Amino acid sequence: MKKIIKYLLIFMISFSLSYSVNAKDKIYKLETLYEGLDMPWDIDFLPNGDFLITELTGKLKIYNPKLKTLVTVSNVPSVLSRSQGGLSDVELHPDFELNNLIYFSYSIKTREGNTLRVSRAKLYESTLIDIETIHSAKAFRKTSAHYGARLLFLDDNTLLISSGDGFNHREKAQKLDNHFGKILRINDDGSIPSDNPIFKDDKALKDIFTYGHRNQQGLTKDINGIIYSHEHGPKGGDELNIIYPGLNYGWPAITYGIDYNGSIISPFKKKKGMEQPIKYWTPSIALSDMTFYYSDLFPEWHGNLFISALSPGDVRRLVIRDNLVFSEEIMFKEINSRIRSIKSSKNGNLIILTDGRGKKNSGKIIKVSRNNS
Amino acid sequence: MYLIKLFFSLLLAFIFSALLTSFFILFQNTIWNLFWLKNQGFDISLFVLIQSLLHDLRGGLSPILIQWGIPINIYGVIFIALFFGYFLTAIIRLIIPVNSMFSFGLAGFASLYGIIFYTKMTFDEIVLISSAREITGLLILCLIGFFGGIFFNQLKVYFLKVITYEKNN
Repeated sequence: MKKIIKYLLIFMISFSLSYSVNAKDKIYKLETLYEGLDMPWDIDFLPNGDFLITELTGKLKIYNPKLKTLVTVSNVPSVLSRSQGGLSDVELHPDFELNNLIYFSYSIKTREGNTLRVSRAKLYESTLIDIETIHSAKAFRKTSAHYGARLLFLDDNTLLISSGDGFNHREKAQKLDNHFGKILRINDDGSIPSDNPIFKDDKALKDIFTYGHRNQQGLTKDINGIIYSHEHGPKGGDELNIIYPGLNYGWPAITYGIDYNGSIISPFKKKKGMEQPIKYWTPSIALSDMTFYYSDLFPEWHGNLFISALSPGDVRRLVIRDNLVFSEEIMFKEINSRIRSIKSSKNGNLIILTDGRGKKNSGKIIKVSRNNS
Repeated sequence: MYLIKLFFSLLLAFIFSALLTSFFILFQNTIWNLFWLKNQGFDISLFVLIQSLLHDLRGGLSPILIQWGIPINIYGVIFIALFFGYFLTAIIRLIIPVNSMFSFGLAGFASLYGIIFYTKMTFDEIVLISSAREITGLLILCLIGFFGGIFFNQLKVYFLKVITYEKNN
């Protein structure tokens, strides 16, 4: 009996010691800035430091981190808020300080079916004016699934739009006469850039940048302008890709995942003329967003790619060297929620959005800052 | 005693016919996917076909949906749908004397359409059996159900004959 108590005491002491060492060792601390968002989807930062946040339910909100106040932006177009559809990404124009333009993606219901739309508007205080639709995807479906809906401005002020495969329309990702499973590139006014890739297919739509994607929910670029995209696989096979114009990323002809009913979508994982991911995850972790980190607040993270994931809910820190994934670290598991978005703020903190596992008004804004204690 | 034997003969007929129906549904799904890949320029050898089919038969054991907290795989979904279809038909046939073979065939047809209808309702228009996303595929799927129903009817008759034979001997 004495022996048992002795071993139990040793175990308890060593456990508590290791726990406190781990807690002390953490170079970061997490702070919940706000709780009560309704299915937040994306975040961007205004020049004054305020956060611009979309909610899938159709609201655009401005959070002031100093005053800890949340204001709803008025005059936002109505969206089709159903299942995976709703108000999705928001991006500031690279010249926002001059033109006040913001760009946002959302799903809408049309006579032909549900689809993805991108609009721009001027943001004055907390009101949108001069709203203009600059793109409607030729990807009509009955479902409200797989819109993609990520936006990314490139250095030449052209805009990339990820358009998902609409779930039931996966085979169309390999055809160029539609916007299912594509990354599109347009000018900031919605026109088509003259230097977009040219495809052999006569029916190819002129705004297609790349094709053969599934549901791309992450789109970012590194300091050198290299574009990264990640997409949900089906059951397994979530992918991280480097995006080059005109290329075919294979879905659903090649994939590392299988169908939800357990059947093979394709027994092939590679094919000439179809790009390979630089990393894939099986089982799926449900990738949701990503950002490169270049601030001095965490010099040890400089140049790393942070990918947020919904299932089980964590962040992956990837060290990328020569366009290859060198290592992966699972972080922020203690948040214990579906992580919908991650962005690096101007002062070097990482800002995370959680969607509260679909519960109404339980999404959070979480700040990751340096632990100086 | 006869009722017990009747029950077991119906059970056996149901299990065999539902298994065969499930097999053909999965087979159709595999062929559908491979046919598309062949049109995309992939070389589909006999080995790939057999390997894919075996994978899909095994893969069908993994849960496809969770209903009332219970994970259900594709076999479970097909079995439940066919059970309700045949059960309902048997009751209807007690009231209206419809041709047995045709009515169970129709029950199989409707049951499989019911699966697609139900999953579309549950998952916001998503069709989980990919081969049924187009009208031709859906029609083939329902026809498999139709022949599955006929097979059930034939097996039912066969097993009843076996019972009668055993009884007489």
